[in-house]
Amino acid sequence: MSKLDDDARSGVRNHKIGFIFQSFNLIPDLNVFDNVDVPLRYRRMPAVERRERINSALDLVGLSSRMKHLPSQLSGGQQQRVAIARALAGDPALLLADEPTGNLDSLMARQVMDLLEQINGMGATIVMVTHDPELARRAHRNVQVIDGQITDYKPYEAHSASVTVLHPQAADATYG
Amino acid sequence: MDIKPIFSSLRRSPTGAVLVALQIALALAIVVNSLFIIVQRFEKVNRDPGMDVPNIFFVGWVPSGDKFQGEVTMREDLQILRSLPGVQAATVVNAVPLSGGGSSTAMFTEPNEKGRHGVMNYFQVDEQGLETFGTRLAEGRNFDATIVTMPPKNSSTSPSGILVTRDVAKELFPDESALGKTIYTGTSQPVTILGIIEHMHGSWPGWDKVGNVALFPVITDETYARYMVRARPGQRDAMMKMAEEALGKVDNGRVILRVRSLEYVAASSYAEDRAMALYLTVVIALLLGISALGIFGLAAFNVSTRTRQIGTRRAVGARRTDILQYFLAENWLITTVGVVLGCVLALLLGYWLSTTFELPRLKLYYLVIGVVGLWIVSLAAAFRPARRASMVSPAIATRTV
Repeated sequence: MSKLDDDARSGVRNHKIGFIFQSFNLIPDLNVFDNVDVPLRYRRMPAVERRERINSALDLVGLSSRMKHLPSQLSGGQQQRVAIARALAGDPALLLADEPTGNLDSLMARQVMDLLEQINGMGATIVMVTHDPELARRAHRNVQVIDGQITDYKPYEAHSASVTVLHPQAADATYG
Repeated sequence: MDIKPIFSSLRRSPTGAVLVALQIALALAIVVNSLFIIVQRFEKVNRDPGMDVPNIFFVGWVPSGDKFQGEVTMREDLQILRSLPGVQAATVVNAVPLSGGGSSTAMFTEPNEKGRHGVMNYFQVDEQGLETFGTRLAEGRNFDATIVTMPPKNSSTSPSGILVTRDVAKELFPDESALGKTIYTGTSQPVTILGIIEHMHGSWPGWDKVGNVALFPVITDETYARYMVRARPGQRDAMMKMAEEALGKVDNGRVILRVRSLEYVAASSYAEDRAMALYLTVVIALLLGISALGIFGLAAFNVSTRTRQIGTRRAVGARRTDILQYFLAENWLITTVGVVLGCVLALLLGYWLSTTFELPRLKLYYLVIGVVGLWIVSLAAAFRPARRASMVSPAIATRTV
């Protein structure tokens, strides 16, 4: 990745990776539909195909009825589900989740984790960063990182579906 | 580049964009009309006056004491002036062209003020008048010394033949040649058109019929008389000095008041036009500068308040050029709204100016020039902030503080 130029790295982020951020990072001036549309527009995808993908992603996260809502009109959990829909709409090979439940209360966090597990169950690979050992236990694999160094590797603890967990700082390297 | 998201974003936070669009609209309206006025003023200043302006000067004087003998004195002075080595021609004249002061009259194609009529600014000159002004005779002949008269003061006697410019000729005889035709004064005295001058400006540069000029073969009385002199090319300044010295040596009852070049007279007459053009140029520069600052300010503000949003866009796949295009397109959209509104304002302002100050109507291609100019200014002003936006790292999206 580090040898690619900026345009090529942008292409990889756009086509291969879906990002889920701790603070959702939705664009406040755009409604739910347009927020999910953002990465698809950078693919120069035809409008019809974009609409289909957005509808299907919002269906998956259960927000089809909120397409015209602005982020400010949604709860934190709903905003994170929109962010997940945005990450999924491009059908990426990898989902990078940077403390996706960090800004949510426990109920919302559980709902988001359930959704991630559902997506994982559908075949998507998710790499999630978390400080929460409870959530970490739901991953297939745990990789413990302290001060940027991998200190522990735990091959699959039978709790739930396959989620790999990293220390938060490790995720930054991906953005170049 | 899709403008829908940009439009959505602007619609939800419109205040800054609306203010900048209004600023652009006002700037366009004022810039376009100012530019139109500047061009008109320059066209006016740079018109061909039809005379050898660079080589002409005049001598202003007043009679003083008992030695002054009217026509005799004036002919004596003219003789002195014509004998100077660098002088091409000289005449006595009742007014200085382009000076703002002069006389006019109306003549008719039929007696008793009937038929077509032509208004003309007339100059009373002797047989060297035509050559002194350096004008070109298009048709007919110049008058000779035999018909040059000096009528008594306050006399209503008219000359028997005159020269008129083509503008006057067309006004009197639009469908035929005016040469040799008889026209009539307001008192029905017949006057023959001896010759037609191709083109010459009269006394009032601001008059819409500044080209309506006639030369009368008359030695004007001393109340208005001046000497007009045409020097050979390159010798005007030397001749001005020499003329003043030569006339000063003769004590014949007149006092020299001033010797001025026609260039000086013309420059003084057009000073207001030049000042107006300069003033409006400064106004245009200030308006464009302030508009550019407004656009730069809004773009810079948008970039600084949306840094995290830019990082998110970069994280989900936007290239640097996408971000650059986004901000330039956003700015273009604001500018376009401004220029559309500005076109309406410019036309309304142009209409008001034309009806209030009797100016020509604004020509539409000035709007095109203004719109293109403001687009360029706005793109240039927004480029730096847009480029700064494109340099935001996608990693910014992961920062939580």
